[in-house]
Amino acid sequence: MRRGGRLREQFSLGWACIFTGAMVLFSLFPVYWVLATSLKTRRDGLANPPLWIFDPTAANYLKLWTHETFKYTFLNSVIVTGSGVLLSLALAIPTAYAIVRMKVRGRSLVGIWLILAYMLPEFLFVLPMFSLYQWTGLYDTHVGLALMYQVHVLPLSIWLLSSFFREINPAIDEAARIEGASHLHILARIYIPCTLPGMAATAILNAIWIWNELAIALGLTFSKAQTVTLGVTGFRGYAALDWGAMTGASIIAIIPMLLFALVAQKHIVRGLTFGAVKG
Amino acid sequence: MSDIRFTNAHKKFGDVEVIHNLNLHVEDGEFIVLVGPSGCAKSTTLRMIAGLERMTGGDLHNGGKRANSMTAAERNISMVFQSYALFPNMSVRQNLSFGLKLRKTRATVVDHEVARVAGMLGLDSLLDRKPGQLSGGQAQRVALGRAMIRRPDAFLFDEPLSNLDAELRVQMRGEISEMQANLSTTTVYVTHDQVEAMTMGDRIAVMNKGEILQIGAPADLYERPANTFVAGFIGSPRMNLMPARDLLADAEPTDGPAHGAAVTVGVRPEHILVNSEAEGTRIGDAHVLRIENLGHEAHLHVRTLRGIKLNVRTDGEVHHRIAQGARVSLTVRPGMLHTFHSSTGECLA
Ligand SMILES: Nc1ncnc2c1ncn2[C@@H]1O[C@H](COP(=O)(O)OP(=O)(O)OP(=O)(O)O)[C@@H](O)[C@H]1O
Ligand SMILES: [Mg+2]
Repeated sequence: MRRGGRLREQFSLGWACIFTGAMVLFSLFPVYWVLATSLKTRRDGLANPPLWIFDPTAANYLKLWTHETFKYTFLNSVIVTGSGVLLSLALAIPTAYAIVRMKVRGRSLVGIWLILAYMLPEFLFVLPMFSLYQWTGLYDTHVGLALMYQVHVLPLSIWLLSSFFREINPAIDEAARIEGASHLHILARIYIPCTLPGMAATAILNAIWIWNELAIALGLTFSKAQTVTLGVTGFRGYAALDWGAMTGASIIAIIPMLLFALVAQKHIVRGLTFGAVKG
Repeated sequence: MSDIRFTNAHKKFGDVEVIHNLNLHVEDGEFIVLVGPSGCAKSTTLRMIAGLERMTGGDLHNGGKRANSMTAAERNISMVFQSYALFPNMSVRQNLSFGLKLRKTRATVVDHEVARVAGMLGLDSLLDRKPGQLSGGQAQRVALGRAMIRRPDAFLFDEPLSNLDAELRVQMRGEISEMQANLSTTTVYVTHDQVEAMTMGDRIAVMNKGEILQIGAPADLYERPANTFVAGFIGSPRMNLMPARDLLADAEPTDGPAHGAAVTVGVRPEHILVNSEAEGTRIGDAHVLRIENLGHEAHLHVRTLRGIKLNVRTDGEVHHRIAQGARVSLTVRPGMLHTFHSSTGECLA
């Protein structure tokens, strides 16, 4: 009877492993396929039925290395992502503090904003902003993009940071005020240092979202500020598709965020689960 | 001069008034203990002194200066919290020097003061630790050090010892009392603990529902409680309080005013004598329901023949003489019967 139970337990554990493994393979398959295509010659890439075994080549990557437009969009993405993330933290940190500790009401508003930002398609923001951006000169600029992205990343950042700040014992705040510290001082010397893992998690989530964004970049840039996601689609010409270059570009576009996520995985998990506040 | 004076102070949270007309004068150098049941606005009173809560009416003077609209920083007051509230990302040294640095004190002076306070509180070897690496008692010492390093005009304590174990509590109680006596800094101390209240303060203020019901020296409050609330609150185990006719129906000799229908009498457990021939008011016989022996003393739970339950405090050897279920005679020591007005609760004598 007991052995039967053990066996059944192992059996179901086995199934769970197989199922999980299959799901992981399934979700990683597109990445594998993009990678494989980027390593194929033009002829292999177009083979029908698709080739599973082929001679890998670095030709596509070498071509991208000298592809000025692609390199330019990559750099744009670095600038836009960096400034977008900095801006979001600069705005969200004081806002979250005010909501949590200065009795400023607004958390429910941020909640509604958050849901709207996730529910509504990005393109909805783009269309009315298009003419405004052209009029103000923000169209096709880094600043314009970084600003527009705030609509999406700010509510999430404020939401996350305010829940991290809430974990800090309010008496700590009061003790600091009695010692003579200003709110700004408390924020800089206590709140930010105490929530670094949470800050990192927020910054990384924002960076990934901005880096991968396509619709807004498509609508609000033309050439100067085009981001890497547009750079990738740029290999789709009028007549033909350069599959090799396009998949290669995709891989290059994925790599920074992948590295970022791997390096910071610890922070994200810690920040989003229990230890957002260093004790 | 750094006395603290509330005049007709009011505090509302939204529509709820938690302090109605508070008048309190803490004299320069005095140690006042605030006691009262949970929610009676002890912390709120303290936080108004600190500048963490604004009053919604009345005046607060600090050292003669009107402090109503001063910020916490402007008041030069220190506070020790129940949760210690140390800055978790800073070392003990940084915690101690935080306030001095904000006041732009010279680095050599800061170092000197940190060394002085650390020496006094035995924190020398802990200066580079983070609060997370301290025991409760050590954290409490750091909180004390942070409070005293600035030489403030007043100390505020909000149940500072309630997170410590019994032994440490006794030790810290002594240390805080000594520190206050040495510095003679005006102090307001909130506690739930009877022993802290009776032993630490120059005066005790008993609060209920946002009002001070009585303020005075510990012995005064114990001997002459002004009303049934204070009578029941000060002293442990609590004073026995009941309608006079229940307790004194069989009493002899008949004791003056205590017999009226509208009178509540109170008698402390330690003022009831068991099977004693000594002088006093005899209140009849009772059965012993339960004996709680603490070693140095014992608590007897008894029920009189009329069904009134009383608490009696005796010496620790009582169990050699009296067994559970035994019938005993009870006598109140002369002059130890307190009488109160039944409906107002005010003391009659
Ligand atoms: N920020 C606040 N908002 C609304 N009501 C509050 C606030 N702070 C305190 N109160 C209310 O004011 C009353 C007094 O609270 P306070 O904390 O001063 O009580 P206390 O005597 O310190 O109690 P305890 O012994 O439990 O610490 C309570 O009824 C409490 O609910
Ligand atoms: Mg309290």
